[in-house]
Amino acid sequence: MTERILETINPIDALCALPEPTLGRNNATELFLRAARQAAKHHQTHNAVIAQLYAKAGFSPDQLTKQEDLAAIPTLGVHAMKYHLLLSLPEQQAALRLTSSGTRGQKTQVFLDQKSLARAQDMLLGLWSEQGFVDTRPTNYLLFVYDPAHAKDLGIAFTMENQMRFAPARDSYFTIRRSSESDPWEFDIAGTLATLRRYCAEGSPVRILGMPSFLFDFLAALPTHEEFKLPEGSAILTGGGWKAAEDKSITRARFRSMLSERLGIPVTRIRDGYGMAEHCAPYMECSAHAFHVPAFCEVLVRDPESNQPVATGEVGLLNLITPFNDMMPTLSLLTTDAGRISPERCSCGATSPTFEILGRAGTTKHKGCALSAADLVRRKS
Amino acid sequence: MSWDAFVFGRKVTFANALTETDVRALVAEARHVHADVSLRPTEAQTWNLLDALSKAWSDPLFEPRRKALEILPAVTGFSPEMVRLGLDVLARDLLSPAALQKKVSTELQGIPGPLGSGFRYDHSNGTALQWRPLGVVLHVLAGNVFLGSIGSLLEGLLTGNVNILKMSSDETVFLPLFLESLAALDERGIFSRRIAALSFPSSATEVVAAFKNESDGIVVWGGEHAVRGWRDGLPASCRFVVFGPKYSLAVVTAAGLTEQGASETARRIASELAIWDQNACTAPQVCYVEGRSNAKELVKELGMALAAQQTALPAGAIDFQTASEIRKIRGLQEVRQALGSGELTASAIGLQYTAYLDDALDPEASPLHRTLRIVPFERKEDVCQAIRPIGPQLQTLGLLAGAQEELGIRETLADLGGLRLLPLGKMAGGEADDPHDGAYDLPQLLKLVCHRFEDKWRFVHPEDRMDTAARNTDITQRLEMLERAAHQTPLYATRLEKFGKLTLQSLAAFPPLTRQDLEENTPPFGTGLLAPDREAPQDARFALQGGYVTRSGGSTGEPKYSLYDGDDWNAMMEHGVRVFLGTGLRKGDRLANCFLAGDLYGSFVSFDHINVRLGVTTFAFGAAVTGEGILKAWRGFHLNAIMGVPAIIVPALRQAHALDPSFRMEKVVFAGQPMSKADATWLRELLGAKRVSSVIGANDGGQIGYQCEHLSGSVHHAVDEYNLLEFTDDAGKPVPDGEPGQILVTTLRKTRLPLIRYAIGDKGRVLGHGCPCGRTGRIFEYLGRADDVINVGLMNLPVSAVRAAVDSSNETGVTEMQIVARASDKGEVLLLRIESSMAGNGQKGTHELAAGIKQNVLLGLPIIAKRLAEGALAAFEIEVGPPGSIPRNGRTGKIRGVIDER
Repeated sequence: MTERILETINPIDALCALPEPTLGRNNATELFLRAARQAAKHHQTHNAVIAQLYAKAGFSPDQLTKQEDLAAIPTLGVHAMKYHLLLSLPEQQAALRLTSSGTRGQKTQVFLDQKSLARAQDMLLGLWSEQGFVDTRPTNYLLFVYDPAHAKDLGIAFTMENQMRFAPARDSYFTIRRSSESDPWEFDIAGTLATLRRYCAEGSPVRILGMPSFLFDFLAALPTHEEFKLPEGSAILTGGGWKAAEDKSITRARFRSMLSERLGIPVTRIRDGYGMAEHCAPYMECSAHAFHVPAFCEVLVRDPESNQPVATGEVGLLNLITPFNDMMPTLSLLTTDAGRISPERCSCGATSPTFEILGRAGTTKHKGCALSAADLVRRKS
Repeated sequence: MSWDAFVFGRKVTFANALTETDVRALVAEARHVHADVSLRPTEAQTWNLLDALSKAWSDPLFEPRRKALEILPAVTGFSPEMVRLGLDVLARDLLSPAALQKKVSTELQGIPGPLGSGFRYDHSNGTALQWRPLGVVLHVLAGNVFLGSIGSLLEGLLTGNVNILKMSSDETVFLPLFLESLAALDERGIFSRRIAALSFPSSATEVVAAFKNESDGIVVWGGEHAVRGWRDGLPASCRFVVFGPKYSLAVVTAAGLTEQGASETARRIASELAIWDQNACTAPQVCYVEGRSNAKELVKELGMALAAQQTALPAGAIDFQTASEIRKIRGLQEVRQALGSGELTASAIGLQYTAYLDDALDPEASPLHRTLRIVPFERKEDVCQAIRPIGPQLQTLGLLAGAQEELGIRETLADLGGLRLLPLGKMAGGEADDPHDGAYDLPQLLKLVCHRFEDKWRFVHPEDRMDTAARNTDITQRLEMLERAAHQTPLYATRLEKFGKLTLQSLAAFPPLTRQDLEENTPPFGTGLLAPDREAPQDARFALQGGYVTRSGGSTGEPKYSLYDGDDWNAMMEHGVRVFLGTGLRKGDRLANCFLAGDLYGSFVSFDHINVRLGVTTFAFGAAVTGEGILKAWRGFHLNAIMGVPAIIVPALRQAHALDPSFRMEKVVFAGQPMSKADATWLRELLGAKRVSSVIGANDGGQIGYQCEHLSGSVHHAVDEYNLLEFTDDAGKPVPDGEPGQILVTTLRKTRLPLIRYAIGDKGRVLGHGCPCGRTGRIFEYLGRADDVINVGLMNLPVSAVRAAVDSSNETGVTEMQIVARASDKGEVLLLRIESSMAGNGQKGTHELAAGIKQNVLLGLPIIAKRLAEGALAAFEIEVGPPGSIPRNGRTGKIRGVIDER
C-alpha cells in the first residue's frame, strides 16, 4: 500500500524533501534509484546531447536497478558546462539563472526551472534543519562577501538571502564594500570590528557567513588583547572555497580552533559548506566536520585514467550524482575536484558515507622545460 | 632522514637536509678542483671517456643499463620501449664523441676552449681569442626527460667547468646510475672530481641563496616558476643560463597536406607525440591545420596513426593530475562531438592518446601525454596573430607546407619568435650542435677571453712564443689525440696494442713508418692507415668528407696518392697561415702563385687555400708563368709577392727584369727545391726582394719548416706543433742535436690518415731553440733528400756536398745544378750540368766560368781529385748554360738532381 502511494508521488520530489537527508539516507536507496531512472529518462528524452552520450555508451536508464548501477550513467564533464549551455527544458522555463565567469573568460550558466528550484530549496532546508541551523530567533548577520548592493554578481545576493531565511535577520553587515561600482573593493576591517563588538554586546545570536579567506584575514586583524564571545546560538557557516586560505598554509582544523578561541564559539557551531554551482545540491559539514553524502546525492570517485570508480578510500575525481534538476542534465557530473570517500565511519553518529575534497585536479605545471598552463596564464596576465 | 649524494667522486651520506654550510663547503671544494691544473681533463681523455661510456651503455649486458631498463619505467612513467629508445639515444648520439666534437667545433667557432690550448689569432687586428670556463656551475635539472640531466652535465664537462647538479625531485634514479658508470670508467678520477649531484628542494631558501651567491653560473631547465625562483636575487657576478619554458607547435598547410597526404601527415604527428610521450619541450602542444575539413580529416586519421604508435612506442603511465586534465578535455570534446561541432579521436582504453578539433586559435598548454589540439585556420595571418603573444617562448615549429609557400612561412614564423623550424615529423630530432633556445649552448657556459699584444708581435702567432714547458704540454695533448685517431686505423691499432701509450718520451721507441708501409696501406692499395669516416663509419669504401687527393711518383713506378679528408685539410690550411705569416706574407699582398696545378698535383691548390685564408690577392699563374705575364701584373696591379719552385719562378723573374730593369719583387716564397745562394742574392740585390723565404713540406704530411726574416739557406723553423719532427739514424734511433739524421714526421693534426714517425726521405739536423724573431720553437737545418747520394767512381757523393762546393764562390752565378753519372770507354764519368746567370751574358766566358766552378768543386771535395788520380773516376766534367737550359720535369717543373746514365 505504502509502495503504491510512493509510486504515485514524483520520486525526485520525495527524495529532495526528505526531512533528515543525512540520517535517513540508508532508507532512501530505492527512492534514489527511481529518481535517478526518472531523471535519466527525462534528460535522454529532452536533451539531444545526453541522448547521444547515452547511446554511445550503450546506456539505458532502465538498467539502474541497484546502487552499483549508478556508475554506468555516462558522466557529463563539468568543464563542458563552461562552454555549452545544455538544457533539457525550454529556456523560458528558467526560474533561476546562476552565472559564474571562469578565469579564461568562459561562463558557466546554471538554470533551474521552478520545480527544480523548489527541490533545491527543500534539500537545503532539510540539511540545515537536520544540522540544527534553523532558528526562529532574530539573528545578526556578519557577511564576509562582496556587498551585493554594489556587486554585479547576483549569485551572492541570492545565496546570502537564501541562507538568511533559516534565521530571521535582525541586522546584517557586509564586510567587503565599496562606495560605487567604479570604486575598488575594500575589506572594511574597522567597520567589521565595530559591528562585531556591537553584535556581541546585543546578545542576539550572530551568524557569520562567507568566504574563509576573508574571515582568516579578519582574525589576523583582531586586537590581540580583546576577547570576544559570540552570544549563545551563534554560528559560523563558511563556504566558497579554501584556495586563498590554503595559500596561507593553515589546516581547516586549525582555522576552526582559531575561530573558536578568538570569537568564543564552540567548534561544533563552526561549519563549512561545499557546493558547486553546476551540481547545486548542498553539503554541510556535520558536527564532526565531515561532509556526508545526503540522501538526494550519490558521490562516486573515479580513476581519471580508466574513468572507473575506485575503491573506498582511494583518491580520484569526484563524480556527483543528483537527480533534482530537470532543466539541466546534471544528473551525473564529473567534476575536476580530487577527493575520496572516507573509509571510516563518521564520529558524529550518522552512518551515511562521508567524503573529502582534496583540491582542484589537473595540470598547470609540467615537470620540464615545456611551457605549461601556469606559464601561459602568467605570461598573459 | 639520511640521503646519499655523489660529491666529486665520493658517495656522501647526508644525515639531514642540505644546509647553507654544506653548500659553502661544496663550492669551496669545487673551487679547489677548478684551480688545480693537474685535475683538468685533456681533450683526448674526454673523448676517450665518452667512447668508453658510449660503448658501455650500448651493451645490453652492461649492468647500469640493465638496471635502468628495469627501474626507469616505474620511476619515470615511460614505457619500457621508450626507456630503451632513450638509452639507445644516450649511447649512440648523446655520448658520441664524433657528434660532440662537431658540437664543440661549431659552437666554439674554432676558438680554443678549455679542452685545448692556445688561441685563435687574427693577425689583421692582432686579436687572439680563447675560451675559459665559468668556474663552478650549478645545473638545476628538470624531470621531464631523463636524458636531460646527462646533456647538461656533458655541456658542463666539455666547457671545463666544475658542475653541481641539482636533481629534479621527479628523477633521482638515472643520474646517479649514470654517474656510477662514469666513475667506474674514469680511471684517474679527474672527471668525477668535477661532478656533484644532490637533491634539495627549491623551497630551501637559504640553500638556494647560498648557491646563488657562491656559483659562477647557474643553468636552469624548467618552467617559468623555476626560472624566476633562481633568477630573482641572483648577484650580477653569476651567469644565468635558461632552458625553458618553451612552447612548440606544428603547422600544416593545405598544400603541405595535399603533398604528403593525410595518412602520412598523421603518421608524422603521431611520431612527434609518441617520443617522450610529448614531454620534451620540442613536442608540439597544438597543431594548426589550414582548412576545417582538412583539420577534421586529420583528427580522424590520427586515430590509426596514434594507435599504431601503441605497438611501436607505447604510451607510458600517466599521473593523476595529467589524467584528470585529459579527462576534463575529453568530457568537453564528447559534448562537442554530440553537438556536431567537434571531432575527437581518443584511445578506447585509458588515456593513451587524445586528439581533437578545437576552433580556438589561441595557444593553450597541452597536458601532454599524447594530447593534441588540432586547430583549423583559414588565413595564415590569424595563426600569426594568435601565437604572437607567446613569441618569446616559441621554440620548435614543425612545418608541413607546399614547396612554393614554405620559405615565406618560415620567415614569418622566425619573425614571430620560432627558434627551430623543422619538417613535421622531425621536431624531436636534430644535431648535437643545433641551437635549441636561440643560442649555442657551450658559449653560455664559457667566457670569451680577448688578448692583444705589443705591436712588434703582431705577425708572430702567440702560440709560436710559448715556452718549452707549454709547448711540450701542447704536443703531449696532441699526441694523445693522435693516439686516439691512430687506434682507429687497422695498422696502428695493432702496433699500438703491442706498444702501449704514445708519449713524447715513448715515441722514439715506436716503429717508424716506411715509405713502403705508407704506400701499401693508403688507398687505393690498402686501407691500413685510414681511420673510419666519422660520418659514415660503417662505409667499407674509404669515403672521404671533403678534402683532397693528390699524387706523386711512387717508388714502384705506380703513382702514389696522398689523402686528406676535409678536417685534416682544413687543419693543414689553418696552420699554414701561421707558416706564411712567418715567411713574411701579409693580408693585402698581391701574390703570383706559380706552383703547379692539375694532374692531381697538390702544391698550387694547397698554397692557394692558405693564401685565401691569409687574405692575399692571388694571381693564379701556375707553372705557366712568364716574365711578360709577371711584368704586366706588376705594372697593372702592383704585384709584390711571388711563390713557386725556384726552377720556375727565378727564370721568369729574370726575364721580367731583363724586359724592364725597374721591375721589383718585394717577397719571394719558394718550396720544392732549395734555392741557390746566387739566386737568393740576385733577388735581394737586383730585384729588391726584402724577403726570400723557403717553406718545406712533405707530400704526405704537409708543412715541416719555414724561414722567418732571420733564417736563410737551409736553416728553418720547425713546426713541431703541427708535424713533430725527429732526427734519427737509419734504425730510427734519435741522434743528438746537431748531428744529421733522417727526418721522421709525426702528424699532430691529421686524424683521418695519421702518420707516426714517417720517414719522409729527407735529412736534417737540429740547430737549437729560439730565434731573434721571437719564435721559441726548434731551428733545424734541412739537408736535402736522404737518397740524394750518387755513387760514382767509388765515391758516395751527397748532392748537398756537391752543391755546397759549387756554391762556395758567389762569383759564378750558379742557379741550378744537375749531377750526371755516365759510363765511358775509359770508365765512369762525373758530369755537373750548371745553369748560371752569368752564362752567355758576356760578363764572363762560359769556358772560364766552367773552369772556375770546377776548381771550386775540386777544392771543396778533394776525394774527386784523389779518385781521378787513382783512375777510379775516368773524368770530371762541367757543362755551363744560361738559366732554363737544363730540362725540367714536364709535370713538376723541377730539375732532377741526379741522373744515372750508366
